Amino acid sequence: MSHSKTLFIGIAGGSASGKTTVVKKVMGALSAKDVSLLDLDSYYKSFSELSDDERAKINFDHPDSFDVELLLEHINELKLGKAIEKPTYDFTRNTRATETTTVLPNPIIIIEGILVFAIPQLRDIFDMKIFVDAPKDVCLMRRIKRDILERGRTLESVEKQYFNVVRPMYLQFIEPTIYYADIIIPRGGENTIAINMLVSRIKALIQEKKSL
Amino acid sequence: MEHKTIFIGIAGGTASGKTTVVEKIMERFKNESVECLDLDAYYKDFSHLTPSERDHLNFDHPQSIDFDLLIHHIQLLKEGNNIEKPVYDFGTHLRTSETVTITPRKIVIVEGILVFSNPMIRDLLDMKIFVDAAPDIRLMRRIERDMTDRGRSLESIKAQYFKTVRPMHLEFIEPTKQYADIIVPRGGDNHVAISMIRSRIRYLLEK
Repeated sequence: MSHSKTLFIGIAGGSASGKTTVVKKVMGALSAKDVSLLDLDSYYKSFSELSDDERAKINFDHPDSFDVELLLEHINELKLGKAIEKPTYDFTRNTRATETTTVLPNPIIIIEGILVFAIPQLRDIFDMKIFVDAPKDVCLMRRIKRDILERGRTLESVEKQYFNVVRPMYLQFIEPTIYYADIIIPRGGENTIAINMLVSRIKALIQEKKSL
Repeated sequence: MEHKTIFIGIAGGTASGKTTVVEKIMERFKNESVECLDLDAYYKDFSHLTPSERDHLNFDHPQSIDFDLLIHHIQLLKEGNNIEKPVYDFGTHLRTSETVTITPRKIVIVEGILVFSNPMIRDLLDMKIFVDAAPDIRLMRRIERDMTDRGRSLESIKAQYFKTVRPMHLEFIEPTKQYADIIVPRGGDNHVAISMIRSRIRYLLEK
């Protein structure tokens, strides 16, 4: 068992900024034995004490909706070299599902999500902070396309959610955290040059750890 | 023989920390196949102007830079030829008679405030890095630098800042951030970003 320090990389950015694509492409270029991924979306609170009506009103873009305590506990376990059971969130019922996914204590852990830099206790653990940035209109266009074409929602419901929740929460909690970023990746998933740079850096870090 | 040179552009506003980023990259690759071209060396030769006309030049405007020569030099390096990089005299605003011989390298960094303002240069760059810092932070650094290191008066710094530096930044530098592949916030102290750039260069050198 290696005793070298686990490295944590945070990847934040607005909804539909291309963050998830960046993460997928980075993970795809690395060995599953070297890097593990935690997505903040899996750590929504279980909200089991709420009624169905109350649950339908949950603001999923607010930092208070996440089970930060559980995530920090998992981070500590991973640091100690122990595997964790990552929860699964059921977005249709807005509650935590019973199944879990085992995440291994790899030398590099990527933590991805819109609000990973908005939660101070979480922000402090990162060795590298990356913000995926795309102009708000480009993100909106992607979001409309995704919600209408892939999720069968109406434009009216997308618009209502956008102005009531997504946009104000982005301005209040997500955009200000670009200030904490070490690296800003514009455009998102199509930005191969930035993704290659990040992959080179992570590979170099893995090499350094292996040669310790 | 195929000679593949990789050109990395590093742009950013005045006092953004660009030069420190470049220095910290270059110090890691001493005696290796990495070279840097600074846009400052490519100011036009204004010998046809009178000294008083030269005092009123706007050095923050893309037109003050000899992009044709820079493009020609980038192409020569790409083809595996030496270039003679000009040496600019900022006291007289004239190109001096000396030049610096630059040999073709695997990696060439092109650094300067206006590097991304020219579309042909942008097309020649394989990687574009924008060093970004908040305008107030850049201003504070610039005042400190100009007053302490260059002995200038606050009044002259202020006049130049509002007359050319700031408007030219907003017109020609800030909009070129959109062409960047990565943005490095804070500048020279951002060791996480600098380490990432170094790792990428190391990979490209060994490839």
